[in-house]
Amino acid sequence: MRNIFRYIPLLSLLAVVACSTQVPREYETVNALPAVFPEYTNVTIPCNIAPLTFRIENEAEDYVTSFKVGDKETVVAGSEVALSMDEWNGLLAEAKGDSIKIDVFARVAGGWRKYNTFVFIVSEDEVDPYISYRLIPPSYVAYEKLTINQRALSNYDEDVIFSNQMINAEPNGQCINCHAYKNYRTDNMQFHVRQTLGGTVFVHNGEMKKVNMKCDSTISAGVYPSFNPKYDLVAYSVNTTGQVFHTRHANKVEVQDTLSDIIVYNPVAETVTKVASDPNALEVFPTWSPDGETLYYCVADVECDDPSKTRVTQLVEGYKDIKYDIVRRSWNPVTGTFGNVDTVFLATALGKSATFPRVSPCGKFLLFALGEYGCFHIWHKDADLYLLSLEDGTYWPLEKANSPFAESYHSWSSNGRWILFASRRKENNYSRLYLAHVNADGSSDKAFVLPQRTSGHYDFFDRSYNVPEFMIEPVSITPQEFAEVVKGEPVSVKYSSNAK
Amino acid sequence: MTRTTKNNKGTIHKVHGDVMAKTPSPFVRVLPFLQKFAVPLFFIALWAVLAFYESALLKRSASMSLFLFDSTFFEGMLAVPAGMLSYLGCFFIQFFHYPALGAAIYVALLFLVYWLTRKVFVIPVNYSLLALVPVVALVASNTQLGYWLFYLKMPGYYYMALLATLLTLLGMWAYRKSGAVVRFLLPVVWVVAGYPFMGVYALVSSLLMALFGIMLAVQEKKSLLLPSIALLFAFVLVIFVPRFYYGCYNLVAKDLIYTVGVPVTQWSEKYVANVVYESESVWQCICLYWLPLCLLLLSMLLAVISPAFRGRSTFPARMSGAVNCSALLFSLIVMACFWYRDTNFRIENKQMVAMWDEDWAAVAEYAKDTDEPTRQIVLNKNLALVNMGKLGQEMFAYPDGGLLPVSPISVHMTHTDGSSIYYNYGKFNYCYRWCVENSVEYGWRVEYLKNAARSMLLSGEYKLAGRYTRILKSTLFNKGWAQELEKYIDNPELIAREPSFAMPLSFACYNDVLGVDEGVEVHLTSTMDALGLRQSIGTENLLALRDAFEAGDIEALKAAQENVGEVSHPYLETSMTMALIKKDSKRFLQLFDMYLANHMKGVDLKAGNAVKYLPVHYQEALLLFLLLDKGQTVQVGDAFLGKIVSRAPGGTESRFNAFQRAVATNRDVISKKYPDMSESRMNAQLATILKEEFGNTYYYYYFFVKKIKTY
Repeated sequence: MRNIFRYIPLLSLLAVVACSTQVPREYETVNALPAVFPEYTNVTIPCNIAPLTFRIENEAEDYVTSFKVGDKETVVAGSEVALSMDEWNGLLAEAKGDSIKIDVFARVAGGWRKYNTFVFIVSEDEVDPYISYRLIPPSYVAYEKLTINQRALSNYDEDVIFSNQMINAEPNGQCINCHAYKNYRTDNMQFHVRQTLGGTVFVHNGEMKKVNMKCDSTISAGVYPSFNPKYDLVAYSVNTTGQVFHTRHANKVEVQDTLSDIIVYNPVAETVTKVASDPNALEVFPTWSPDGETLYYCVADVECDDPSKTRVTQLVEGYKDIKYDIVRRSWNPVTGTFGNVDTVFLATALGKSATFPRVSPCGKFLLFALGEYGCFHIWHKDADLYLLSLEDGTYWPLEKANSPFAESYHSWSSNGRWILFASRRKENNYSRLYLAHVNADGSSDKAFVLPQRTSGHYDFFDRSYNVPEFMIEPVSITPQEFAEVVKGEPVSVKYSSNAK
Repeated sequence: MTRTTKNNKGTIHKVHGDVMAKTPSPFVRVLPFLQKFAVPLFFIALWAVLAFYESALLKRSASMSLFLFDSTFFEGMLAVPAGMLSYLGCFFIQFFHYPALGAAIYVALLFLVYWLTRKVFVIPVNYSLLALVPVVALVASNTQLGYWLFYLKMPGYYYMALLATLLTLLGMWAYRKSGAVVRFLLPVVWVVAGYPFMGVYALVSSLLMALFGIMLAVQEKKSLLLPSIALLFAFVLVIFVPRFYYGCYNLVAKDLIYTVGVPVTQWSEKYVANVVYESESVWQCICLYWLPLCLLLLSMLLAVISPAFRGRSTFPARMSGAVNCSALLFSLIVMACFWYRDTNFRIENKQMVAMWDEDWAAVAEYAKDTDEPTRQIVLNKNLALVNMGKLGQEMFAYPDGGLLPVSPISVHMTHTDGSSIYYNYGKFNYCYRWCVENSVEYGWRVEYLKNAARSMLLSGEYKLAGRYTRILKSTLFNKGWAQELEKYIDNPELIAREPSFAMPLSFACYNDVLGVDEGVEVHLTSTMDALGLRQSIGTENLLALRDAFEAGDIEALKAAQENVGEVSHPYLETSMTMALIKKDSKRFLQLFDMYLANHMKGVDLKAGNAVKYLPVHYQEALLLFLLLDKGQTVQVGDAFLGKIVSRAPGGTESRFNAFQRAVATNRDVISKKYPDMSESRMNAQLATILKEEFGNTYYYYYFFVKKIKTY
């Protein structure tokens, strides 16, 4: 009996050796990259990102994948290539500022094939540790289950910030939308609740309240928000928005504003002030410059001069003619007044429509989405991301980040080296989040989809990710605490002619 | 005088000797039969009814559910309390795809409920039919659903109460077999551990279990202290455990934590329309949906607290026979009362299954099985006729009208069949839209996935179609369907060669426009209009066709035919019939030259009978509209009319004339008899009189089929 025990260590070692995966020694070379999903070949990734799990889609009997950084090698078997957190972090630490080389081997008809090596370029630029987004079915009218979630980028942890099911189910349901933060922090943040118990849930210096931002002088309650990074002021668009449906176009739906203005909200004085309210123009998507003293927004001139038709009918019929430019107005924090309108990007001169301007934290670039017409580019297959130099006015598409499908809602990381945006490139219907590295010269590297624990996540997950925002800390208020605020009475705002 | 005897389970019964000495009563005589055959017969009959009589409903139920072998799907289901029950429910529902198999599994689990009820509560064999009561309550909770099928927001509903009952009975069985400590702990553990998996069922079953403990202690003459404390604990936990879990789940409203697991949110006022369902009171109808669950709870409660079923029954055999007979009778009555048997609902389901099989003849044939159909039945019947090339010839020969679905809820066609109808009529974007909208409301279901996949395939959005086939490939029974469709996704050039795609594609010849959906039939009747595809709208071309024909001028005929442009024949014909349904004579006449141009294609103008008669309903419509028009805008010409409308004795024209005479005569008779009769009553009276002879004509539809309620 004792003799048997003597062999246990040896047997264990043999078992480990037999079970451990090894790179094939003999193989034929295939002059092509392996087909992997998600498409992660030759992407630039942050040095603090979660493992990029992918699957190999080339048909084969078996697979071996090798990750190599210098002398360090990690080998994984099977078509689902998922590294443990420790293995991945080890590779990232080694490859920071360099790259991880990935070799895929596939066994076909008993023989091994090796595909061309691809790399993960590991940038030294860290990405913010958290992001938040709304999960919404890519529907048109119905919204049964909406959640605003936060996700750690260095792993796969995901939490619900708030869910519309916390209050009530239909028919007394709610839409929740437009979460936003001040300076990437969560002690000043907001999101809207529509319909039943509607209002804006506003966190001001850690204190929660519900605000009714609609007053007699404004079209609606606040819609698209932007926190002023330096002052207690939040810019909003106020909109009357409708949807109409294509009978056969692949874009399927047009989301249109029929009325649209810009206001600012002072959370201390509980006042709102109009910034732009031309009845012959649609003003939308406000965003502040990093110094807090310039407000950018989009504006489209509209003509509704046929008295035989309603404004809505005319705008719907002429939907392809509604095109937005990007303008800006200075704001004087001392007087609380706005300066004259200055055109930043004249998209209409190109016959196009520019939306969602976002100034980079360094103040040098303006990121926006450019499409053929309209304001809701996530439904427009032709929409792409562009960068404009605020120093010399030149602009260019982010070619490596864009795709033939819609790219829209986008945000900058706090260090200005990463952008996060929604794209429908996989099948033109479900928005997925992509990260792309932006170089100092304003060019971007190839974008990659937000990594998930399994490669099949995006196959089966039936919600779109929208309004992606970077955060440097998670929201610590629980959904239950938010729910209590939503159930409470709102604070009503007053109108003020001065935004101070 | 009494004596004791042992039943076949070895349980001792006291039997009244004097009862046994007398002539056996009918109950006693029937008792052995009931004991031996009633239960097997009951379950076999239930299986047969479900598997065959309700086969279409079961197939439809499977298509209105989804179960995937996938971790994302699993995690999504478990994100709410009672998610595990939902998940398991979805697993079992998928077997309804094969009704005989699905019904067998369902009935087998019901039998298990019956058997466990008897085991747990030690129901003696001569009272065994009492154990059918929870079974029929469970069956009734499903068979009374009707149109709720489309509106259930709780995946796996059909099996949830059944599985929860089974788990509860298993828990009680374990409880019965356990010692004092386990008995003390089990209700506590049950509610704490069970709530995430079973929701409200865990709360109820832990209370039942604790109560069961008290009754067992009484029976076993043991101390009541521990069972009483356990009951108290269970009560406290039932109050606080859901509150605790409210902090753990982010997808449940606080108001619903005590009801999660039953589709309580469904019964809210907004969903209730003023539709009478076998009763004047809508709320009474709503209560109907709760009665089976109440009966289930009551039966379990009675079983728990009744001392009669502790193996020491003192009831005489005469009484047991009566009880057994009553239980069986009660069960049958409950089943009958809670079985939704609406004719139109059944036809709609059968039509849908026939459409999956592309059996268009059956789709049309089923439409004959009702006195007044819903508009969904009419639309599907018309679709079948256009597929068979019989639309203009037969569409008004079927029962017509427009009953609203008989349901206490407000039913919309977009929820019941909208996506399929839109797909078949070539409205791919709208088909897709309702697949997605409905999936948001009720979760993805097999039917939505299939319609989304095929509509996007025919729209040319192959990647998107592939997304849905990929999901369908993870189901147990739809893999083959998905793989078949993937053939076309991978090789789009094959689409044009597939016969089943031909009809939807032939309808998809319209221009893109922006609009809103005001209902399936409203949308179709207003947008399926070939007029939108032609340059000029007028009756000039009709005259040109007529003149060319009368002059025998082939070149002029060709020119007139070319002038109307190319429109697919099914689309044109459907446009015409949409005009007929809307009773829009102007639109019909404006489309008529387009139809006629197609109708006259390839005719030899020199041959005497070169042009065939129009399909009979177009003849009827033409005669009617020409009469109403009085030659003001349309002049077809008598000679030309004679070529396209049958003027033979007994033909369309003579029938139309007979109809006019019959209307005039009967109107005269009725007005003489009832001089003060209102016009609407008069019309109703005429409709009844003329239906037998003229009910299959367009002009009957035009004048007498009214109050069509589309939805």
